[in-house]
Amino acid sequence: MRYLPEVLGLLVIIGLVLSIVTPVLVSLQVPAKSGLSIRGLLREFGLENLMLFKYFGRKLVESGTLEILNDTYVSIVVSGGGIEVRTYDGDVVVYRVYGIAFPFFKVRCRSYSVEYDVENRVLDVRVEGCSIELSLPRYLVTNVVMYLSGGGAKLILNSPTLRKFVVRVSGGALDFEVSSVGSCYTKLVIEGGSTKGSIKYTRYGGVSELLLRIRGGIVDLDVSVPKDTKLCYISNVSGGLVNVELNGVSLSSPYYEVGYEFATSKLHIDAEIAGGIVNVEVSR
Amino acid sequence: MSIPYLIEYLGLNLIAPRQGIRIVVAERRSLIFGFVTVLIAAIIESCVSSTVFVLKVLRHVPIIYAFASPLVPTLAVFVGIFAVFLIWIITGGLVYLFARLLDGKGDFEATLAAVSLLWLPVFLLGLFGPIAAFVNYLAAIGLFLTLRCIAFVWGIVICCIALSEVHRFSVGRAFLSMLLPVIVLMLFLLGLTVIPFMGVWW
Repeated sequence: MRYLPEVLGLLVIIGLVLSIVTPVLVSLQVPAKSGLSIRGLLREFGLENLMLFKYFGRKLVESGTLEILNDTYVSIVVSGGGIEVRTYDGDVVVYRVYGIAFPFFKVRCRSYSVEYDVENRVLDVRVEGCSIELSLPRYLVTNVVMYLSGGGAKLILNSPTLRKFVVRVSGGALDFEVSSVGSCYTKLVIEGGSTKGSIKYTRYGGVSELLLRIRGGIVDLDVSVPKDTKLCYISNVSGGLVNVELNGVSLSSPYYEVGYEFATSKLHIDAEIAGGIVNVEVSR
Repeated sequence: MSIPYLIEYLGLNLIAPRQGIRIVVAERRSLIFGFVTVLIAAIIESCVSSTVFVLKVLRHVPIIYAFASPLVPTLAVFVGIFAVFLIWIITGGLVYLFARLLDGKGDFEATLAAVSLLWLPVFLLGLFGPIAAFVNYLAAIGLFLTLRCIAFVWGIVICCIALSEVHRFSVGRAFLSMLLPVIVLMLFLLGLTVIPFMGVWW
């Protein structure tokens, strides 16, 4: 009790320091915005340093475009840092590589590569310790395969030509939105980390497969199917917590929707779950 | 004014404001300590409130964020600091006026030093502020308001004790000298609202 005033006084000073750190922490969470902005204008006039909450985040290291052919296979390997992949209506791949920037320090960007193999029609993207924004032509991509072992990835794919979507996550966080997809082979191999995603199917003929191979981590998946698509759900659960729902009703394996056998449009969900927390909600 | 002395003064006023304010008044450092206390508190309160109410909310409005960030949060901090100082001076003046009406013996500078203690417990906001960076903005606002309420009650208590010491009257009178300006202000605002309609009633 003798030193209580000193301790409390120190807490006041610590509170002062932390209160100044707090807005900087929040600023770090905000991605930089391109285009017209007050920050951009101030930078133009060399006044950016006057700002109290200067953004410490990322700095553009490289940007470019790649011409690709149709039926392109996209392979993305993320072992640190982050990637954001989107589809758009153009016909070339646009990429921007950002390094991590701190004031007065050199921009940090460990390693990355964005290469296109014309012969095999493979777009190979590798990220470690930096972040990449990738825009893919929505009609030229048919296969997307992602390996995530650390860092974060966000995929927003709106591609009617997508036929294969494979994700393997052993760490980090993945957030994906796949939409406008027809008959497609989808495989999620999750061994850790956090995966949240949604798949929206448009009307299609044939069988779409959704394979879940989960041995750990957290998986939250929303699947939206057209009205005429019938569902089949088969699972082999040896561990973890699993919940698969169709329009809010929990399903137990094996489940065949009425009319599945003769349906022209089918969704086959095959789950092998040995651990983790899995929630799959199917709706139409 | 050395840093260790300032730290001790700040801490002392949080737990024993009577003793703390007595030392400051005796050393004739009322104004400088009042100013430093309010400055520290104003920075803490403005930075944390700007984070919670402006920065975090703006992240959810990308269009505004793209055009206004980080100018808006920076401005919010400066406006906040200015506002706290303005409120300190006005509150100090009013409390001094009513304290004198209630037979207070203290001077204006000492009253300002005592009133500055109203803001001292906002260090709680600073200590727990970084949590706001990692929770969603509704939780951040909830946390901010809870801590601000605790700091407010704590501030009222130590301010009343300090005022009673400065003006050499009871804590009840000190509380009254803080409450009366609020009542008068409310009556004034009520009057402003009612008077324009009096003609209609007559």
